[in-house]
Amino acid sequence: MTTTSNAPSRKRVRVKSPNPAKASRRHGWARARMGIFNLSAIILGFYALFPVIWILITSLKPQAQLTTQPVTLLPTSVTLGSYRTALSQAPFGRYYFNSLLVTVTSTVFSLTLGTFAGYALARLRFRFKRLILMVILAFSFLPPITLVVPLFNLFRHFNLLNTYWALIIPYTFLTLPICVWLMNAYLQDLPKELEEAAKVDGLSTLGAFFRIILRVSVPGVVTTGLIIFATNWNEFLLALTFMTNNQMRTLPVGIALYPGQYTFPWGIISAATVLALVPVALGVSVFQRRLISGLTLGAVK
Amino acid sequence: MALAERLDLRFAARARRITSLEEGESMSQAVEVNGRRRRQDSGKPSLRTKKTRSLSSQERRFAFWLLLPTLIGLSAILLYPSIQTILWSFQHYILTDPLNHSYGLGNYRQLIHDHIFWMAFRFTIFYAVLSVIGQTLVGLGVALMANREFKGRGIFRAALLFPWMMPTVITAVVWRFMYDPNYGLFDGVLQRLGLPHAFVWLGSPTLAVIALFLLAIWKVNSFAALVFLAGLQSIPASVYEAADVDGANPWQRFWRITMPMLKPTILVVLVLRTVEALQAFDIIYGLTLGGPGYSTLNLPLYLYQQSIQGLNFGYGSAIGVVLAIMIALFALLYMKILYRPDSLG
Repeated sequence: MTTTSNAPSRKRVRVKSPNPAKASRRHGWARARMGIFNLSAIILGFYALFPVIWILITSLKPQAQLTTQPVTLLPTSVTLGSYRTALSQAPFGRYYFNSLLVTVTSTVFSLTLGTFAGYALARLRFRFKRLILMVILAFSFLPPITLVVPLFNLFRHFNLLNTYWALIIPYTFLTLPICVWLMNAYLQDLPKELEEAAKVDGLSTLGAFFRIILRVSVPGVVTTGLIIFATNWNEFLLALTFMTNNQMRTLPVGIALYPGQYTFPWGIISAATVLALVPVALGVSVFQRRLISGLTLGAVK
Repeated sequence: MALAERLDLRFAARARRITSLEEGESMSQAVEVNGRRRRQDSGKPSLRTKKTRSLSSQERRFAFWLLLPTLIGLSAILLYPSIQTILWSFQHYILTDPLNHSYGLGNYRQLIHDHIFWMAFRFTIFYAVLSVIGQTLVGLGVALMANREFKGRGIFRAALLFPWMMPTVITAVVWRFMYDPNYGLFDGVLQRLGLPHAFVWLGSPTLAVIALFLLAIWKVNSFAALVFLAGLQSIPASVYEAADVDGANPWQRFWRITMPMLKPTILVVLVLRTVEALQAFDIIYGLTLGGPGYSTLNLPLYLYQQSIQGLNFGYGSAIGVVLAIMIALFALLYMKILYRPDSLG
């Protein structure tokens, strides 16, 4: 459905001036405008990217070049020393493991429940559908900051603080409303003949769901899963509050609290940040186009 | 949309066959294949409604079981704590103080006289309004740019995803590093350009607020841009062609076509971003921790300080209720936009 932009061709189609001098002036203006346009595109692209580039550069710098004044923009030599330190000296390996475990588990839970609920809301006929959908959407507006204290108390009561469940449970349900929302929107777009075809094949409603709907909704599940994965992977507030034991911290908390221990370990922090970016960046690079449509669906529809 | 590609071919073929049939025909076929000959044999005109009813009750039961875990979980993990927050806000509840008692409106009365609360309240609104305006304007500019055709457009669009991808708190930490007065990137660039430098960016209230806004706009504008881009691409080219025929200039084209057609998208982005900006926690925690002084303290951070660090659950809950009411206003606005009668269907 990519409607390609036709802005330049539109301009070319426009009525040409009969006066040649005027035409050439217009031509010059068009070129200048193109130049301005390219320049601002570069500046904006740079604005979006430079912190990422800067982290990458910092992570590859030798220790000595981190504390020069003024700061060296490009390192004279490249080293992986910061990465080695981050993974061995600091417990970033452990943080990584914690983050992966919590994020993957809660994403799978959320996707499972969200696909079930999204399917029911999108394709089955029953009463109060709109109401249920709106209630679920309303849940997504509950600010986590107001939930953190009661949840803290609840998990303290059940001795769940500093266990993986303390994050898996809230992550699952905090992302569930948006998961239901996205899956509902996605499943609504599938042709309704799918179920009819299933019935022709002798499948029950249940069978149609498991054998057919789940199979054709894989792209929607992947996109939604990536969005939820990124949300949970990057979560900070709950992880900061519920995991007070250093060994149980997730990556964002581990990185954010790390500067407190030494002064200016920017090389190590940058290396850890680059490593933290890897899973989401991989997913994004593979599913970029789908991801954008999923993100916009979640925001607009 | 190339839907058939996504479908299992076998079922796609069957689905096509069914759509081409008369509806009644496919129904009777379905009955036959389902092996429910009994019903077909009875041959009464009411049989189809009976079958539909039994099918739909089967559907209703299935829907109930599919929705049940979601609704129970959401109630237990999201609704129950919200109610508890409201109840606590009327209690004198300090974790280290064994005297937990009903407090009426005491916490709220305390809030009214708490000047730090009012500073945080004002800053929350100030931050939400300004950062959202900034994100929307820059995002709109980026989207208009990314909608044109130029070399490297794919890379440009991919680059837009980077700020969204990074954990907010880590971006804040990284920016704190870039703002460093001695070894930071900004200082290094200023110094190399021979400009005044060595600003302690995060040490002065004014500069810290500016630094926060630069980061906040960077973090979110590209996401807003992606949403706007989708909105721009849904404007049919024929509308622009018609405008060209009528001799509209680019200025008119932008204000008379692009903006009105993009208005719903912009509205949605504004409301959703505001809801998010009112809750900003990670970004301020990572960059300034509310400082220097209280100059960048907002309500979420103040709530955190009171509840988690001060263990004053009652007072923190009262702050939470105030914040939740502010957010609820915008959430209702969003739902109202979303559920315009003409957009149903």
